[in-house]
Amino acid sequence: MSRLRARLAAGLALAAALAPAQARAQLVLLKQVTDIGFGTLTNSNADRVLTDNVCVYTSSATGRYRVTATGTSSGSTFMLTSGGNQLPIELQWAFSPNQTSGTPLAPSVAVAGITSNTHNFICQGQATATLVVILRATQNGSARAGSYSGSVSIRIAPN
Amino acid sequence: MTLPASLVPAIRHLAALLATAGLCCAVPAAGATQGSIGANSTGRITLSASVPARARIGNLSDIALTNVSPTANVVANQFPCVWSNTATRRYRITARGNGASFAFTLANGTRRVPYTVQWAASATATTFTSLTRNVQSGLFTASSLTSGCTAGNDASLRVTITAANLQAMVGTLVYQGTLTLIVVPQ
Repeated sequence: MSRLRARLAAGLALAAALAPAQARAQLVLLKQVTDIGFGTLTNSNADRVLTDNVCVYTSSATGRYRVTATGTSSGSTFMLTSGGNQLPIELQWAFSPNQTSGTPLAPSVAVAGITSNTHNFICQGQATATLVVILRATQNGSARAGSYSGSVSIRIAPN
Repeated sequence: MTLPASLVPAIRHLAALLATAGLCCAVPAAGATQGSIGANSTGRITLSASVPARARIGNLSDIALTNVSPTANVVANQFPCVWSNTATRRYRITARGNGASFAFTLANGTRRVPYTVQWAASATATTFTSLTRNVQSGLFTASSLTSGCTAGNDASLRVTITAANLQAMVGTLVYQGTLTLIVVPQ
């Protein structure tokens, strides 16, 4: 019975897929995001920059999409926290992989760009963008001792 | 058999829908949360950093005592800045001269003149703690909030040469020494 249901679902999906193009919703996918750890900040004299190559797919032929980051923030700044102490970080987004800088991201503010991936809908083994995380020396140098953490959600939407 | 070109976009979209339905392409779980294919796709990452205990001493100045009268003690005061990033902002300080066994001495060749070192955790202190050569002090509390010491000074350093020692010095000779201050966060 479960196999019959799966086949029925696939058939319904095929019917939907073959519907006129105007009725198909544009699909997007974000994959290959990884946690980012700065480790112990032994050097407070230089900015620390870490990057994460990610994959963005869109079914749009133009490859256009919007990226929005949200997380623990204070105003226009993302924060890591340790108890009552805060450590500001900066996020940037590059629309190609292996970059060390990109367009600055502000909390909940969308940034638009283009992905080269309009075919690989499972993002298998393909990186198309870079998330850049920066910890400035000016913030690191005066930070209170402790273990800081935070989380960031990266949302991809059609554009 | 070759698919008609007009069907290719539809087939591609169908494949994407199959992925949405979970009928293919399972991805192993990882620390971060991956997005799912859909009208929107959201991934979530965790960021972390560890800041060690740190301290900094700044705003120190060289001391030059020139043509001093030996009839009274000569006292040199200065007002450094100390920053500690611990929860209590406390620190300990160790003073080392460059004499034998870290003695607090100025020298001209084999001639030596001793001096004393005192410390206070305030730039307006009237009470000082005497520092023993190469012996870590008790706890002091810093008030500087930034390592750059931009908000002013929060400590006092006092170096004293007694009148008796001044009188033992050979006139016109220059005696020199180095005082090292080691601050450790607590």
